[in-house]
Amino acid sequence: MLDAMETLTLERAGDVVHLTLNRPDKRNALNYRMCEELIAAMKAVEEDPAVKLVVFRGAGVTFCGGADVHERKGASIDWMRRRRLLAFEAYDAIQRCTRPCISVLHGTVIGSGCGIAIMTDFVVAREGATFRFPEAAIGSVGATQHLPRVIGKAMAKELLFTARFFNCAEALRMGFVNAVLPADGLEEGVAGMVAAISAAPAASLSLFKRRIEEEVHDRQVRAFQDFLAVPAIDEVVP
Amino acid sequence: MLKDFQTVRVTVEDKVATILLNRAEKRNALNYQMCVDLHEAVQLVTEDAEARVVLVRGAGPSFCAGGDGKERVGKSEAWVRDRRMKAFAAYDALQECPKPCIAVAHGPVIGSGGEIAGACDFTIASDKASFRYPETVHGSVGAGQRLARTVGKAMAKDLLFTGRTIDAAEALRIRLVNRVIPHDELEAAVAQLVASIKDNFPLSIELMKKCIDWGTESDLRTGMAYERMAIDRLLATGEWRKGIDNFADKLTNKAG
Repeated sequence: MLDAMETLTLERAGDVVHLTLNRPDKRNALNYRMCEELIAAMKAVEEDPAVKLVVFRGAGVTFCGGADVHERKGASIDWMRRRRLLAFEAYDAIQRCTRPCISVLHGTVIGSGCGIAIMTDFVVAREGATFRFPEAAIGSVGATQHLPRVIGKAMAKELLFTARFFNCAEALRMGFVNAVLPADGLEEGVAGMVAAISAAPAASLSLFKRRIEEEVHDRQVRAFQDFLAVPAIDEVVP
Repeated sequence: MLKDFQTVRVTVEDKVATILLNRAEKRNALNYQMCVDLHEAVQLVTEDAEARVVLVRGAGPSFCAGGDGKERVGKSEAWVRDRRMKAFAAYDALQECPKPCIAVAHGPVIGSGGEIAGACDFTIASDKASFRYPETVHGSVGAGQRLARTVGKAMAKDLLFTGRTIDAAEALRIRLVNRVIPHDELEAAVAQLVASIKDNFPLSIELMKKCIDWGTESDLRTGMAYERMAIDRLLATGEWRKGIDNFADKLTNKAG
């Protein structure tokens, strides 16, 4: 798949991989194919011991303008469900990556774009970037777990319930982005971060993976299932 | 819709429900009756089909001056315990309300007032608002759970052990409130905030609220399972299709 990527480019520069969302004519909207390719790209990164760091960017006017809603028009519930689960798999693959991942955001970054960014270890934004989680405005559900863990529960609720835009200053204040850089200093700033991080020995860049108490997990999941009256838990929990 | 309880007034207008703590002469001190009234008020707005957003506010210059200390004079331990449990039940009802609940802190928010605001999804504050948790000053215990989850353990201990008053700027810095607005502009900001919520999809908001509330009390993997279930619940209703079609059409029109 890496040889025939339609929606991403992967470039290796020394021990750094530059992963670019590459559907500029669609504002890099996340579609089924891009989910698959993100999973494949993260697998390739994992399998290459020389990679120390991954930098995520978007080609064109924005990092990512959100999910590709056109591909959902007329889709079946089963297809929708598969597409959502595939996105979760892609997000998981990014989050579980054992090498540090940085996202560099620019333009109007919507929904899934913010979702991809939040899975990376931290986010750098170009001055003028704006952000939005539009789920409540389009009748969807998303971003309910990682976002409150990064910016706090109360602020996550405000952003998700209103579906409003927020700017770089707010994003910095709430901890959604680590740094905001001017357009003409962006690449230099990112290069500085990359150099500082990749100077560390590769082994110490590997991340620990959390052990989960399976019993507690299952009990809590069952309680929430009862609460929502959702059928067929075995289909939902992998 | 308008309903007056003894100590709380509920109004619903243009999709916005307001639960007004209405003992202005006592700076909205929380007494036994207000615990009962607040609980019933939350049930009322939960059941009201028109209400999409719930504002919790205080009549007069205070949001809420805390627990009504005077009513406890001469009361038995059993009475005080019962009164505390009634308050907990009211806070819980507010927290579990399926609709978005926003506290509007236009003045002092003290003790129980902080618990009421803390049971809401978030707080929008005037720059004249202040916050205080006087439990240790009065020899009481409270506010240890919601506050610590909002501002962090160390800051919650600072506020609870000292009983000090913090201003709106500090409340913003420690994330006790989401926004601070110049006092004269508070109503306009509240109106704008509710306008950006009331026409969004109620089921999306309800499910996301529950996913956040349950998910932040769980490990991340469990939280993601909650979100997957919420998505299944949403897909089962067909509402999502309406949202997608509207959105896709809008994008197409814009592009065209």
